Amino acid sequence: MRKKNTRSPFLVLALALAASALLSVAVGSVFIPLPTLWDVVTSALRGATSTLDVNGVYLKIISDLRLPRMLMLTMVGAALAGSGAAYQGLFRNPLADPFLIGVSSGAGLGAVLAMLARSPYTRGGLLSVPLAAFCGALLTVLIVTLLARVGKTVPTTNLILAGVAVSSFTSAVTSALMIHSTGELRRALVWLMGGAIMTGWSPILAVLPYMLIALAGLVLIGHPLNVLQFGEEQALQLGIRVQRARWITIALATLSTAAAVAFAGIIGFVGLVVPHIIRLLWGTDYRRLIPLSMLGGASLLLLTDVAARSLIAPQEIPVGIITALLGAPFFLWVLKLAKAQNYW
Amino acid sequence: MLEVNALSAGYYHELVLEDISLQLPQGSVLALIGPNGSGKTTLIRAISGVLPLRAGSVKVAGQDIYSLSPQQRARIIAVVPQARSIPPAFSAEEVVALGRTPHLNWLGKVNGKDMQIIEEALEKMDLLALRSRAVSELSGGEQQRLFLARALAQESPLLLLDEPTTHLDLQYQVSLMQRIHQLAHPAKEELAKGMQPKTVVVAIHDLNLVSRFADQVGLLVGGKLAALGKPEEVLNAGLLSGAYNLPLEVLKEHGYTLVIPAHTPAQNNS
Repeated sequence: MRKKNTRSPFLVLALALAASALLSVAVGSVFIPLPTLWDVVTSALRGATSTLDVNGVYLKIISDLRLPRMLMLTMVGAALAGSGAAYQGLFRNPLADPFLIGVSSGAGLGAVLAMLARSPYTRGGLLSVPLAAFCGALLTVLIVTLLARVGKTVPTTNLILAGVAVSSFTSAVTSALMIHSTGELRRALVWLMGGAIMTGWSPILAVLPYMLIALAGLVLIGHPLNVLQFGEEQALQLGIRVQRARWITIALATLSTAAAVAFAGIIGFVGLVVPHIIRLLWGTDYRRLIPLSMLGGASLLLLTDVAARSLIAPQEIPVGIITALLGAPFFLWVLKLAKAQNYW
Repeated sequence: MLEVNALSAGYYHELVLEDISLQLPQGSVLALIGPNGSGKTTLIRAISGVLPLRAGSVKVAGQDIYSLSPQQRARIIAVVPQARSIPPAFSAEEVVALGRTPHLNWLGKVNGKDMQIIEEALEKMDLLALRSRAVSELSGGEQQRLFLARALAQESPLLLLDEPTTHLDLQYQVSLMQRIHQLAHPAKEELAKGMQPKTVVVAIHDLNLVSRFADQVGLLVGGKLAALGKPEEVLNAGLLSGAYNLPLEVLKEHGYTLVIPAHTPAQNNS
């Protein structure tokens, strides 16, 4: 089928990610041409000052703003797409996306509760926000699964309906909490729309341990997810400890979603769009699908962010708005496709 | 090889199987027959280790299978289920490769030996030409062979098949049963190559296939083993007519046993 060459998709997507990363550092309210960017970075690495950047403005923009933002978006995009692919495999459902099944909103509520207790940029905030987001997300995924479950299967419509209901509820609670906290309203709204990407280096350091554990774990669970595609009973008959594999998948996918939401707000549809394109191009084997989705998700989010920063510059559009504008029609298309030809 | 002792099993408050005991030597095919709802599928599931027993035990090669881990169990028992959920986007080869799961670690990395076993399983089921097709593009008969190939890739001494001939036309029914028979009774050349005869339990409706391809027959009625023995002993007009609640005739033609509904006046009138 479409599995002949297992190297080339990785190469293609790695190059795409490199290009997106460069673009993300170069483009913004101040455009830094690539030769200048190259010269500034290589000079800084040598400990010198670039002749093209005499007063050091470019270097400051790159090192203090663009580079940490680029790294954060890379991790967030990888986490959202990787967890989307994992949820799809877990629920055996093509429409599972951390946003659509309500996990993101649950993480959001957890994060907001923690933010109300502590400012997100203090050390206590940086440590407690992702943990609270993880608890909120885990609770949501359990509630949604319980609500959507019919016997041993989770039908698409039930999953989406339960996800919508639970995420409406948690979003409402989040909004109420945010309105209550005076003066923070605008920031809160931006955060809800997925425009609260934390910049600077300390959030990167804070999110790194969560991301490393969650992303590495997700890359390693491809094989049990493949076997789970035959259903619970056959997976057991093929020698998989089904419950354990399920719980590990839920924990890892939810941890990556929570980390992404805690540091970037609620960004929807990346986890739906990216794994789908990858699946159509390179097949369903989760051992490849998950890492490829991560590479693709990181590139997509970086490009979306470039668009978000340049479309109405110097104003910024929250990145979540653009992913929703792209993702919602895609979602409808997938829904139609999944119904017409059961290609899942 | 397979020993079932006083097995009782069921779902929730309903007892489906009661006091089943049977023994099957290596290299033989046991056909489970009986009317719908008599417990054939439940017995297959109970022997496969996925249905906790109410009483009794299942032993394969002397080991109590309910005391084994899923992985250890999957190395000695392979199942071709009746109700299959097939991920249609997988290719045929990917499905067969997943049969190696009990021999692989958590990462599922296959080595050269695994590849060779996958290749042999595909070849044995005549699937080499279809290996890169998506499962959804295969016909019912090809899917049956595919799942049998996946079970072969497990390299288990015991094979459990739940109604493998359902939805197949006559030609495929016979050819599939021939393949199953050959697995239990390999040709001399295959034995010389080191192939071990499989032990097979197959739930099946077609009594005429049973008489041709089974070494032993178990007749289930209402969750109990009403008869167990050689085909010519169990395929007996009196026993079967009672079990199926329908007058049946057993004929011997060309060395085969044929079971057909008896010619009754009621049918003449209709």
